[in-house]
Amino acid sequence: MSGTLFPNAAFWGERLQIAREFKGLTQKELAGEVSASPSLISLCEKGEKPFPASDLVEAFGEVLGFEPLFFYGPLTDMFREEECSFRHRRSTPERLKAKIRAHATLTGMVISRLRSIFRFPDQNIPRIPAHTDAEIEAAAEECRRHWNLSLDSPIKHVGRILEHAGVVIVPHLVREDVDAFSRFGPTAVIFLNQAIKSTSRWHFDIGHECGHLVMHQGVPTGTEETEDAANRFASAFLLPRKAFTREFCTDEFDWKHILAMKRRWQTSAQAIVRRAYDLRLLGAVEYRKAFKYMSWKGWTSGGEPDEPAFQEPELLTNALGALGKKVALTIEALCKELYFKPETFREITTIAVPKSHSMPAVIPFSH
Amino acid sequence: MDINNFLPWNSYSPLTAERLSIVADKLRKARNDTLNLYDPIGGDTPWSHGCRAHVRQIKAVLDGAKEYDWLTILPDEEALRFTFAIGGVPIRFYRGTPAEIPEHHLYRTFAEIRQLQLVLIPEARKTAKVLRMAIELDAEGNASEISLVELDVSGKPLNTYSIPQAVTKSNVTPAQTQAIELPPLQPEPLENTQSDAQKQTQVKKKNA
Repeated sequence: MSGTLFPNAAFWGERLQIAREFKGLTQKELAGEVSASPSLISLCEKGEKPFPASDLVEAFGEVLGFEPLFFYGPLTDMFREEECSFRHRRSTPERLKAKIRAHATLTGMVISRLRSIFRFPDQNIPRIPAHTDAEIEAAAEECRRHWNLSLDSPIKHVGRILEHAGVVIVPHLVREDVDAFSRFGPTAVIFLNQAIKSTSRWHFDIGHECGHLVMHQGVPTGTEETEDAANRFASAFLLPRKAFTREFCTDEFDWKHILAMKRRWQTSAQAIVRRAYDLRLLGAVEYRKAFKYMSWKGWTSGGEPDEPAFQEPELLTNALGALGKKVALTIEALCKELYFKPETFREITTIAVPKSHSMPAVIPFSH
Repeated sequence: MDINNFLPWNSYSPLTAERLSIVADKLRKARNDTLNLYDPIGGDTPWSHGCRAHVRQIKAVLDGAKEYDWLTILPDEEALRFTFAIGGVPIRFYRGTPAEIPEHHLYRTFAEIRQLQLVLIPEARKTAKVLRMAIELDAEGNASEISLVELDVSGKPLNTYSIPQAVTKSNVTPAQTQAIELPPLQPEPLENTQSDAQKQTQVKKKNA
């Protein structure tokens, strides 16, 4: 075995854990890949092996897609389980959630670096705990007031509202069983599923995650109660009750009216029908009939008509796009600074790192 | 049959006088316009004229569906059978008087049954009645009277409402607020991180 890479710098176990989880490997699987024992991997991750052999660290890098230097130095902003909320199916395995958290932590590193060179909006998320339906309605309305949004008007680009409030929206989830994910912390983020190419669904997902950020700061989520609360918040935030009731009742309940409301409020027909039911504008029988109809038409499986134009989140994309143009730092240099391998950077941000001849294949060991 | 006191909107809230009048006017106009094209010397017969008038009336309602949100066309397995809906309430039309309903119009079609299963208007769904628009012609063939006829499930006429012509349309549109739209965020560099090229451009601008 060779010596340690940096005799004076500590190997940071959490970085190994993040890289491993991002790759979707268990400790045992990683141990097999690098020909080490699972207990050694465990010791490294717990920080009980601060100076692992250099060849082992290099092997970690090769298997996990990072430069060896990535594993050194403190991890300042790890996305911890208690800070994160998932909008997912009940069957979603813990391993997948860990992978998404790791992805988010790595994205957080990119965002932190971008924040040090670009002016990002300050984080401005109100904290309004709410439990009952009445409290949730009031929380959603208070949130609108906090951001100076009229209670009478639809929101055309919900993502922008959150981005102006300092929440970075990342459309990079790829798994179909997780719709969205959010984290409240020094870097507040909402992850959206890029496979869902429906603006109205994204709007609701953003509203749902916004509900977690506003109502559940420091509260463990994932229970039926917190998910229902976030759904109710999303409905109330996107479709404020007074304006919704007024417009819903201007005409008989037929589908043309619902789709006209969808075009105006930029939410799905399903969300509108559910809102009408929650506000008792529709009875349970009508609500069930309506869902049966939507299911029959294939709307509940993603084929709703009159979808609003697709709205990509902009803050992160624009900041990455400005690298090398508005600032000297380029994508390649950012990738190098963070010690991500180009393919890993691409996997994290979906942005390809241009090939550069100046980029060494191996980071020199001397420092 | 109650001819005088039947007001459709009391039983079927979407069937307002204004909407019924709009649809009846379209049917009437299409029928009368077709009459102007009637050319017996050229070979038209009452049968061919009837067919032409019927398809032109269908076309008029189809056009109306593009104009009015509340007017929809129900899909039907039978190519020539035509059913429309006002605010989700299914209706078919025929030529004849309210008392002389063609046999094939006496019963509900599958399109109507399906619509009533899906429609969200409780009173319309609960009712077991059938609605038809009867288009009566005068001696010359002009549409003289159009009525809404309510039948029971056995095809017996129960109520008739004579649809007045050209009920004034309401011009009141509910006030709607503008949607909220914030500008996109274009992150600007912090002072000390601008690229050299950008700094040079700024200096040049200043000097200019």
